[in-house]
Amino acid sequence: MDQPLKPALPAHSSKPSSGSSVTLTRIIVTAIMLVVGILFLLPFIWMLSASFKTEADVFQYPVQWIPHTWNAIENYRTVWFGDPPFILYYWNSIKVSVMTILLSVAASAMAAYAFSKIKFPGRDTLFVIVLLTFMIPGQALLVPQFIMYRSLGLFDTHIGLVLLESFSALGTFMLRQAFMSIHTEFIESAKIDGAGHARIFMQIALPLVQPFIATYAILRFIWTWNDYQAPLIFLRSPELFTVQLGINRFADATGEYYSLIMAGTCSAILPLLIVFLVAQKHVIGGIALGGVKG
Amino acid sequence: MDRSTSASSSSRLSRSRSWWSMTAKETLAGYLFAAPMLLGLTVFILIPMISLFFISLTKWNFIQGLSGVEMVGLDNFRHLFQDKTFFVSMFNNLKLLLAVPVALFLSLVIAIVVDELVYFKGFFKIIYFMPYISSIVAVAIVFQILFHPSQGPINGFLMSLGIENPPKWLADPTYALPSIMLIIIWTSIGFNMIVYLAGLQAIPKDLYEAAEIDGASKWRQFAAITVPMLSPTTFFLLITGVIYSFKTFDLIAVLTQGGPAKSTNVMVYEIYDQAFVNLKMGYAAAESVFLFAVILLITVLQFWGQKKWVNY
Amino acid sequence: MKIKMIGILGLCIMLLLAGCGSSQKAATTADGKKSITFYTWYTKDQFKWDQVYAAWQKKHPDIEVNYVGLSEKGDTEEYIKKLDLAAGSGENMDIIMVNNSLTYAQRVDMGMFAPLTDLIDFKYDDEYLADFAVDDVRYALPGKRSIIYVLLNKDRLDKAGLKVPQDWTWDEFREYAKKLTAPDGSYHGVYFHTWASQTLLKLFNQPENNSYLKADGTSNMNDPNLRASFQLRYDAEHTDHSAVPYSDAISQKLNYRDQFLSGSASMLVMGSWMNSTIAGTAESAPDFKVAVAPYPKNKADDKTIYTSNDYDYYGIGAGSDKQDLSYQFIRWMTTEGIQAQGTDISSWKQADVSKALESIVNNGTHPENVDLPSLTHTFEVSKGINKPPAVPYLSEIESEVNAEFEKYILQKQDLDTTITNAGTIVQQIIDANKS
Repeated sequence: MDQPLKPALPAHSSKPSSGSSVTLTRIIVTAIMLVVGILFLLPFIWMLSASFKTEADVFQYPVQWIPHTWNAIENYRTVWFGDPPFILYYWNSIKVSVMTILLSVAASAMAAYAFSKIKFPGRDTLFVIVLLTFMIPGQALLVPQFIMYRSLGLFDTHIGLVLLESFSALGTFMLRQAFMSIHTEFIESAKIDGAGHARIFMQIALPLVQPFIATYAILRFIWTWNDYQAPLIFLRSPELFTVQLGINRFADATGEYYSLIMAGTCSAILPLLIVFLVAQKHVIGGIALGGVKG
Repeated sequence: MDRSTSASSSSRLSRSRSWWSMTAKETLAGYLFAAPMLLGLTVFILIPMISLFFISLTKWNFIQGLSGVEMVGLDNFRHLFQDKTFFVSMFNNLKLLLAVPVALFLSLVIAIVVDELVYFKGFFKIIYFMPYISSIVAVAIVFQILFHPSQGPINGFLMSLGIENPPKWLADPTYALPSIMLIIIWTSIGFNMIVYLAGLQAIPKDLYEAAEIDGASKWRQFAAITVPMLSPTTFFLLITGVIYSFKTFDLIAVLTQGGPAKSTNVMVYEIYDQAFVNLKMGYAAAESVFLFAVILLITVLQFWGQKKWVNY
Repeated sequence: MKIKMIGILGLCIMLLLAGCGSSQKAATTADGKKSITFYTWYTKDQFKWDQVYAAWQKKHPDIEVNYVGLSEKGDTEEYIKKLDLAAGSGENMDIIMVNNSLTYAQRVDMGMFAPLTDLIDFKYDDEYLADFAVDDVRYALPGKRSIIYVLLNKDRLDKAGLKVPQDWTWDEFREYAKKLTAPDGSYHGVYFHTWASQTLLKLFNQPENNSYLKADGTSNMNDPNLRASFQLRYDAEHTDHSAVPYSDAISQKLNYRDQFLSGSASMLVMGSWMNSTIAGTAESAPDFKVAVAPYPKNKADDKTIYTSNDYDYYGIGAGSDKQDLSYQFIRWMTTEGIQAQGTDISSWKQADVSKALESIVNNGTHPENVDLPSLTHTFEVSKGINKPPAVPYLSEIESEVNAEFEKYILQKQDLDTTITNAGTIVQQIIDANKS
């Protein structure tokens, strides 16, 4: 078979609804989910409203959901055009996060494929070792990692940060689970037709686990974007700082300025929302497995 | 005849040669594919981990670098087994574990409801995912507000229901850890939900169609198709959920610093305390080794149990 | 797949870009100009570095000082963590600041500081109010000095018909707190912060046995003043209802500056670094008059008014190869430098304290709000206690004893059990660290 095997079934679609009782159920459930959803959103509403307030009002009780005194323009101006260059931090975060996703997804997918679909000696032992690296908290490893980074010259560099964030067992584990649920017949039939693993990987396996790749990419972006501890310790020059470090700068010796921190946080969540909105279409439009069709 | 015998023997030869080269090719492919991740993990995590094992056998004055190393054998471990505070922190971690199955269950329910039973699916996906994309500092501050013992919305609501002395949440040694667990469940639902959604996507539709044709009810379909087909995903989320719960640090560092009265002190926080506040790197490393062993044990038990309920 | 191709291409481009993503490390070459590094937690703004450096350059134009602020928000905890990591990975540090006796003691113990014995070219006791010798060797010079005093909302004092205290006891303090609490509960008489030091109130005015351990290293948990200190906190909160509840303070991470300035509390027992705050800064200023009283005594017939002192420590890195130059800077900083800063009181015996106080207040945005005579009087009468040199495991002791205190003040445990537990735990820690 020269053509790549593309599963030919239609994308996942909702089950047909029949009868008005089903629609009524949907309406009721939607309403319930909406109420629960607002509870989920409550903290964000607070954050947004805090970013519009003056510092003195942020912690006034009872909580002012709608600010009495609007300070929104001043707050956001201070954040974006103030002394620390927020735009630079934003750009640094984008840089680091994108590089991390690319490196991490590539390395994880390849390793996951190997651990699930290729037979080679020591495979299972190596996978166990991979999992073992997941079981130790970052704080414990901090000192040896820091010393190593300094001696390797990776301290205070973006590359160093990317390397630190990219190698995590989670992606490998998750994608291995995904690959394992692909039926081996696909692989076998492709092998019989003479395809090497590289081809099988790129043209058959990867497309079949697309929802999981997209999911992992989203997650990795979020984790890297929101990481505070790693940039805090492994970066020292202010021009390299990421957005999370930038947000936490709105403080002085006697305490934090939460109206500014919240304005910064709301600004920082935007890219995550956008990425999620864009990437989740891939998750929706995922391709279902089907039988082998000619 | 000669030709056929030679043909068959030569084909047997070429078959065995090609089989052998196929295995070599397999092995090479395997290592090549796994190499980038393995290399990265070895350099950035494995080597520090191994050095941690080594450090746990020392008293290390790390300010002096390598010259501050003093071998003390198993002294750190001996001390560890008598450390009441550390064991309290371990019990806190075990209590924290309860949050994982609760979160998983809620996430599965929400995932299925969002996938099947609502209008504006995309909108709901975003809402329920949002807690997960927020930074820990922001989440901590917001919950501080919500949990205010006398003036926060949560207790305000409870008091309006007639509850006279609602718990003081983060300020109460009995309720602080449950408060943390609540926050963890709230944030992790987003993560679990989208992984479950990806898993739901991957279930072949024809299975449901066939069951529908056979007259199976929705519940039956759920039990016989959805749950088993999702079991690899559930397994994955269970393993990662448990491991993440042992790694919880940021939230506690920002919100409670292990208090009040050490009620939210978890092992990672103890380790951080010993390493950076008490400057006992060797002891902190020993505690890390112990924590690692605990996580390993629990994970092994889960892997061993997976044969019983996970289908691939 | 196309996406993969694009991805790999993008990765290559990004990697190239990242190559430019490391900072331009200007090699601070000492070609002709000698240069030293100065590690601190203050931001340049907080330290008034421009002012200070200008004054320094007038005296020593040939020595360049590179300011290395390790915390973007002036956070000492963050600073110490990064400092230790830097030291552990062999970074060469010339001047190192720390902010309390425990941090100092731990790091002297670990060899972070260079001994100053050969560098000190003056008679120590003539020059400084504090001596940081450990086993007769000094490793740091004292920088800014803070005493613990009491800030009072003078507007409320006047309204309640109370005079500014010049010399008072804790019992009188309790009375004041009660009278300065709003009947409707809209504000409290006093705010106690969540630091462990605010639980040892009746120990900090004792010339001896004023900490968790006695000078000889044995436990001080049986000191009646420890019990009395805990009792005072409990009574103020649960009996008098004049103190902001501890549960609020920890669950809301209350900020002591805001509690006082917003009027939530009428009194604050705090360190004199608050001087510049009460005189008003760009970010916040009190909208009422502030008076200052000295630390309360335990008994009316105690002759001297004792209080606790906090210092900044200026030391020289043990691995520094520029110790002479570093010494010149710290000597200058701890004598004239702090005056050039204009924000704090130095530990230098030759400094004019009342003049310094006046200038600090006048540097504020609203100097008229500060009752200067009461401030000057407080500094005049306050005598600093000598705390026993900190032992490295003091942080563990403090943390465990504080956990017991928390159970008491949150009403989970009675006082007797608390004191007994504290005693047991402290003894365990002492024993465990004897080896």
